[in-house]
Amino acid sequence: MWLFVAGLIVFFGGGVVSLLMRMSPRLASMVGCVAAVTGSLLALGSAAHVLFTGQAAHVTMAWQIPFGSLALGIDSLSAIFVVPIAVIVAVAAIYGGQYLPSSYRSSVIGPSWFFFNLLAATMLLVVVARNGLLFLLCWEGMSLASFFLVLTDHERERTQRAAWIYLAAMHLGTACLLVLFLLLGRSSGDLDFERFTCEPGSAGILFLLAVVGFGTKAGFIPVHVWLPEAHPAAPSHVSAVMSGVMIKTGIYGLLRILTFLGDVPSWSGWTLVVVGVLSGILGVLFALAQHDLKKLLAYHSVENIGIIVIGLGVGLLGLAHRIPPMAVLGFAGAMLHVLNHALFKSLLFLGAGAVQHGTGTRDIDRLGGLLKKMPVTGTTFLVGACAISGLPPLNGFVSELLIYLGVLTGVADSSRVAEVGWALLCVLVVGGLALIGGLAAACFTKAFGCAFLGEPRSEDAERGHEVGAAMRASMVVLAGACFLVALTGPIWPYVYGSAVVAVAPASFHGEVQAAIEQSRFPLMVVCVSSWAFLAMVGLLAMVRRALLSGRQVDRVPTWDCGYAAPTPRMQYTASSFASPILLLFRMFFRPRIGQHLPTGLFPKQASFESETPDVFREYLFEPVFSAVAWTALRLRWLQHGRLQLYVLYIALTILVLFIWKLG
Amino acid sequence: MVTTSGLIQIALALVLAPMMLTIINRTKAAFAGRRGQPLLQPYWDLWKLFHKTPVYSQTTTAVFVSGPIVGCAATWLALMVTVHA
Amino acid sequence: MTSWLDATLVLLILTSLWLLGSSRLQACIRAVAFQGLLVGLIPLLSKWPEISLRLGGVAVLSMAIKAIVLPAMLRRAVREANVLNEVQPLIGFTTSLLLGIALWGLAMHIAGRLPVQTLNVSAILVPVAIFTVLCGLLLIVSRNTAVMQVIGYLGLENGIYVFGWAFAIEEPLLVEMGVLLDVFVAVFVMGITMHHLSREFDTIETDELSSLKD
Repeated sequence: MWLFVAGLIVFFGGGVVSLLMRMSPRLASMVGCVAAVTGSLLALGSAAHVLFTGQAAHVTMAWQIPFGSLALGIDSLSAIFVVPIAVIVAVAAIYGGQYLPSSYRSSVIGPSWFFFNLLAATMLLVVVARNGLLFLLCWEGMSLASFFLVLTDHERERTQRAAWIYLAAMHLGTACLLVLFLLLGRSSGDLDFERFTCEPGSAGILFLLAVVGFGTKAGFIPVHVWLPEAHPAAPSHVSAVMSGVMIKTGIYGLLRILTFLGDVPSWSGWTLVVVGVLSGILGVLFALAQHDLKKLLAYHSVENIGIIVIGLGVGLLGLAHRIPPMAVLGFAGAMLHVLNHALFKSLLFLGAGAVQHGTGTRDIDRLGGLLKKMPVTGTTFLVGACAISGLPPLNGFVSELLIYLGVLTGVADSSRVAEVGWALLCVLVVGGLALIGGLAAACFTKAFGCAFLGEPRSEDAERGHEVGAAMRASMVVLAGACFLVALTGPIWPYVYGSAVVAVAPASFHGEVQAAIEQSRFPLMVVCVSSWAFLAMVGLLAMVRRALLSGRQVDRVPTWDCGYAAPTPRMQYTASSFASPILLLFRMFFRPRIGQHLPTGLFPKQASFESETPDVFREYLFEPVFSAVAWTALRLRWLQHGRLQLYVLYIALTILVLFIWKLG
Repeated sequence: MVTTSGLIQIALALVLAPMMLTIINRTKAAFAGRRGQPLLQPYWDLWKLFHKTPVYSQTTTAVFVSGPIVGCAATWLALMVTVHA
Repeated sequence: MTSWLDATLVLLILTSLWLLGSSRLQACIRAVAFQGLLVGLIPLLSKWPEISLRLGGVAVLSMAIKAIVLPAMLRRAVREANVLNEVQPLIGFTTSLLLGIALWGLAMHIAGRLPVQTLNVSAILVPVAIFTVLCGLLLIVSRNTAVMQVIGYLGLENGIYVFGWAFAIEEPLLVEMGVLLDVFVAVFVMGITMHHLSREFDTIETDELSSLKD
């Protein structure tokens, strides 16, 4: 635990030092980067200790602020969130150390590292805080640090708008959390987690508050609207941290609240499943409609959060109906997907940053042929794309498989086969997950195919060049980790086991423990077949080489059958690739299409452009906010612009309250 | 885990897979009133294709080359898992 | 020491009335500085003779800030913005004084009915605290210039400090620091506003701000 505290001190210290080094941006960057890596390693060390020894660590200090004590603690549930946070922060810091100075003005570098370290420290504090007030303080600190990081490129109007939407959304979520913690702490009078109790009958309302409050951070549909705006606006290594791990603190919060609620009603599991399936499908559909590489990735975060939430919902249903294997597989899938999504989403964001760095654009329709110019970025991006599409032998497959198995074991439970609701669950989850996986694969075929394969579609792509060694190294590390998770399958029950037990009610621990042992088998199968797959690919590659050895292999231009002037513009574009799928689901979209179709025998000019705004922002939040603005305008007469009157309002209110209460 | 019968099954599946094409084509032909291709035609085709000079587009990358390999390995593996599970 | 404490509290009431009735800016600044000094004395007098090092330190620090630093900053602001040495009231000085006396009655009324346990050192400690707060609010509401409003805030803050002591909060430092920080910010903002106001409108009357409301 002291290792962890030392890590936090390193984060804060390094951040402040790099903020103070105004004179030398290079040195500031170095200090910020080294501090972030060191702090992460220290935190990782203490989390690993907790995971391997199984002993939770605590430290409690008195502080001057009311409502409990300054309590920190790492149990297994915290530890499985500390691990991805520490890993991603360290890798992103190494990447950022090279990326930031070469892409941004030197004046923002010091502050940017300060906020990066602050974000890392507050994220870690959020998952180890054992006091409601401390939790909320760090939660706000985390939101603010990331707000300033989103504003790194603060001169662009889009960035400013994104940052404001982000800030508004975060405060909406925090308001729910404040109420939630006050309700939980009402009976004991302070906000220490140890003494949180759920009054009988209030579990439902507490659960809903947690879903809205934490869901805003995690990006559940329909409160995801900030996510596709804010994530692309931040520098890429920050996007990687925000998308990879920061939004997971919402999932952590939800899990932590579940440990206080005890027995939850069955409908809460259904709620999560429905929210998860909706987030997953709509997230991936919106992603498919994007042209901006980073915005596409941001929508995929909504999708993957959906998958995680499906897992949580399945787990909750397992708990509510007392089917231990279903509960274990659902929660385990969700927890493992937290780690997996952190790995591949950060990898993809770092890749997108490398593309932007190498070519100066993120518009997929202006890229192309980058695999030849940026081999390392391209290959690692491909690994990430396969992983996020849930393809074996990569990590995304493992966690999604566990969730599938969770539903299937639950449905196959002999006592429940006849229930209609169960069949619906099966259709919803299995069908939903399969659709999500398929659409994600289509989306990444589009993204990878159009950006990295084919011929360059613009001069920017023509000039593309590979990025520096540190940036490449961090991407390679993450790509390797994506393989590693699948190839070391059977060790994961040791990692998530005690965390799953912690979520289950105490009366249920024995059965859950037994089910965790059983969950090792599918992971074993995945592990063996992943190794077998790699071996077979290697074998077949050698067979191919043997067949081709000593023979002539021709390389010629494409489309050379008589047509002498092919141009890169004749290639399939990303928009047209996605178009058939989008037409199928057009009831969910309201794309703005500006087209000028060719007419006549010899058409001279034709153009086509489409933009897909977020349906929820356009048709849900904007009307609501305009209504609020309209109401506020009606109260305009209160606004005189005179300071004295404002103070008079306050003073009169105080007096009226005094007289009312005491009179 | 690995049994002899399993291995034989996998080997048979690999060897007999091209025969599927013949069966499909001959069924179609029978319905159309023709005689259809010889029984071993796909094997002769494969033999011939393996001896042709490969031609790749300059645009293509390693992804293009690895497509068939990965596809083949994945199918093969699926077969193995279903046989052994 | 109760008599000394009572004397201080009475002086505190008088300084509040002095603030309400004075027409000179410099006099008001002097009054609020004196008020800061008195307020700093209260903890020392109410705990006499067992004064810990920490208590003494806090008292001296607060006196230094309220009686020396903040008034000095105000004087500087006044000098730099070329403010007239005249208080421009929205409510006349006589009326302000009468209102002040009414507020004293109100404060006594409220204090008598507050359902809380207070430190039993002086009967008028809580009423004085409430009165000081109310006077500060009255000053803010009824005066036109930015400087006078800052002075009002300082009065308000002094009242809150006394209030903290009345309830024998063991660690008033935390509350105190919070409010003091607010006052600092207020002084800064006022300084900036005054600077801009005097440049834009050749006056520092906050009335002019209302033309900016749209």
